[in-house]
Amino acid sequence: MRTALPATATPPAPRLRLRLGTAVGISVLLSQLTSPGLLLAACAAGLLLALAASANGVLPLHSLLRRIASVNLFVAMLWLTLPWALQGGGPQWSEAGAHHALLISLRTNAVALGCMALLAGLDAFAIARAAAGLGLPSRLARLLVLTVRYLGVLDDTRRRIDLAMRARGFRPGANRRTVAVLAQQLALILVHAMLRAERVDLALRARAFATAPQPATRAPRPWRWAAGTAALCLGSSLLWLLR
Amino acid sequence: MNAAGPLILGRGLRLARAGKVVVEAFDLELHAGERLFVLGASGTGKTTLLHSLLGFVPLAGGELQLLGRTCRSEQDFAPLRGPLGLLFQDAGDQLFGPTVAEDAAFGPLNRGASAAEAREIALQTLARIGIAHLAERPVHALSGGEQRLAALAGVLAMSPQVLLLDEPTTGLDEAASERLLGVLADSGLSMIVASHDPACVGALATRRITLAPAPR
Amino acid sequence: MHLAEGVLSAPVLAGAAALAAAGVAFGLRRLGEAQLPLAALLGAAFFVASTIHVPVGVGSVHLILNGLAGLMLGWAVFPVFFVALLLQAALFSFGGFTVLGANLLIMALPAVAAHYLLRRLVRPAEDGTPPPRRRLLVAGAACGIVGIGGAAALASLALVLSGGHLFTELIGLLVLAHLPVFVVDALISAATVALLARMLPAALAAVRA
Repeated sequence: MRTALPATATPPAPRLRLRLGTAVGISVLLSQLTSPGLLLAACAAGLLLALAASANGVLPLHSLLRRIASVNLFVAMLWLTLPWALQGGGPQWSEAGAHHALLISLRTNAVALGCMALLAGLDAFAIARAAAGLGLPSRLARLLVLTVRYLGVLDDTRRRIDLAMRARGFRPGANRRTVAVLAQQLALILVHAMLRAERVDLALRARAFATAPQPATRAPRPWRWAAGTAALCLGSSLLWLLR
Repeated sequence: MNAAGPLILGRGLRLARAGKVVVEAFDLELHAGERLFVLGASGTGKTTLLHSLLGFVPLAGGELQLLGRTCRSEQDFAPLRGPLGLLFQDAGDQLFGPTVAEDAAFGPLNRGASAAEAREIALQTLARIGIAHLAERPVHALSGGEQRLAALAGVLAMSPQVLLLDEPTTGLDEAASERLLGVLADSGLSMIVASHDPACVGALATRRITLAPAPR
Repeated sequence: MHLAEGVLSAPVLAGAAALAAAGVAFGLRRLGEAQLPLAALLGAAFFVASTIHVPVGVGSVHLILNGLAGLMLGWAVFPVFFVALLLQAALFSFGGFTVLGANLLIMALPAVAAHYLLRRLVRPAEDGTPPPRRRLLVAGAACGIVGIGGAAALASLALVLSGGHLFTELIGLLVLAHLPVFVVDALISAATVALLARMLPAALAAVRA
């Protein structure tokens, strides 16, 4: 079991990489399972781990519940449509459709709960570092890190604009004025982003930026890749046999 | 306007920023015609105080009456944003543009004015504070002093009864600063001015209070 | 528009992942080193914008804006949306890692289509004058229509390929549920394009050939 970490403390890079790698791995494996029993067990395990993370204070309970609810919004749509076959005048209950809906619901929840438990308490910076460590192409890894850095800046910008608009009497509602004002918010955020990009560009050129800087991340060692791939193959063939 | 009572009356206000109490047991009164300066080093809660007067920062304790009405929930505060006009510390945050005139029309439009009425109010306000020539300029192409005046025009266009000003002269050169203070004095409005700059207090203040650093 | 984990079949997931990877690789190649900060900033801006609530009736919808992002970014939307979808899957459990490829195609292909279909309409004239307002509004609205409409079509295609007639009603319900965001996205994109042309004409000039 993980020790209780405050959400701000970032665990060391290899642990991060392992957690994200495992989350991706179980997503792939669980989304191919067809045995309701195994999936139910995975759901239960995921829920227990997620609740444990919540008890440790890494994943606030309200955010866990909100995320479970949002995942199951789609599941609800599934149950509204899949088990019903429109035949003749009215909808007919279809056993096959219900079975399919059950499988999908279990998979969706098992994957979501497992990922929530594994990634509990990680912020965008940690995710970016972990993903870079998992062997993203270096330019993509840099795009990820830069995006995460600017997310905070622009979210702050949006908050200030929103506050300033409310200070001048804007109250959102379902009307034309709201559409116009929200478009203005969006345009302002984009303008802020573009103007900042201009400043970044100048700063880069002022520092005689010419060629690609050395990527900050180090590619994982080949044997780890081989081991990871082998484990994934072994796992998936095992699950294939079990289905 | 209720001529009898104070425009703003706070009793035992307790203000918190990011979960940390910055102002405790604070009493505040603003009467018609007063220009109250709230002084104090940065971090003493001046901005938090102004934002809490508009309901942007929920009160952690105490009782607040604005223009004679007790304010607790968002529903209480929302209609007062306009009668209480806030000038933010960073003018860039509150200029929505695209042009200065359209920005000044933002508030009147929110209060249901037609496009033509809002533009009329905007142009009158710009003329009143002497920046009519900036009307068609894009807001992002203004100097610091011009931005502050344009932002003030956006606040004044809502015909406020009280101005709340957050460090209005910070970052302005002497000429721009004097010009802004002149506009404020001419407005004849009651106001609360938060400042850490004693030089800006000048002849404008009718009363001043100092926020002490938060108790540890 | 995110499909959840566990819905699509393995061949569809694998095929989509391969196509999406090719799209990301191509987008990265087109995106020069010096343009990384701009792409990251616009990506972050659209990510933040997608958290704006638009009240509709008793509820509210989130903006998607993939068409508008495509108009401004071109092929770069592939890597930019990859980043956004990865973060959404990891931080909010929207979508997921296995369906990331499929979701990326669903969002980014219509965005690239919007870029090629609409960039001519918004490009300023040689002397820098912005196009007429009506044309900008049309282009903006078309961003929403191509972006969300295309995403709905691709999501439906992925479902049909995975489960055939089993998903027919689900597709209908999904499309119905996205009607409000379809309308709102088109309206907001239209107004935004018209505003951008006046506030910072360079923003639309950045729409590269």
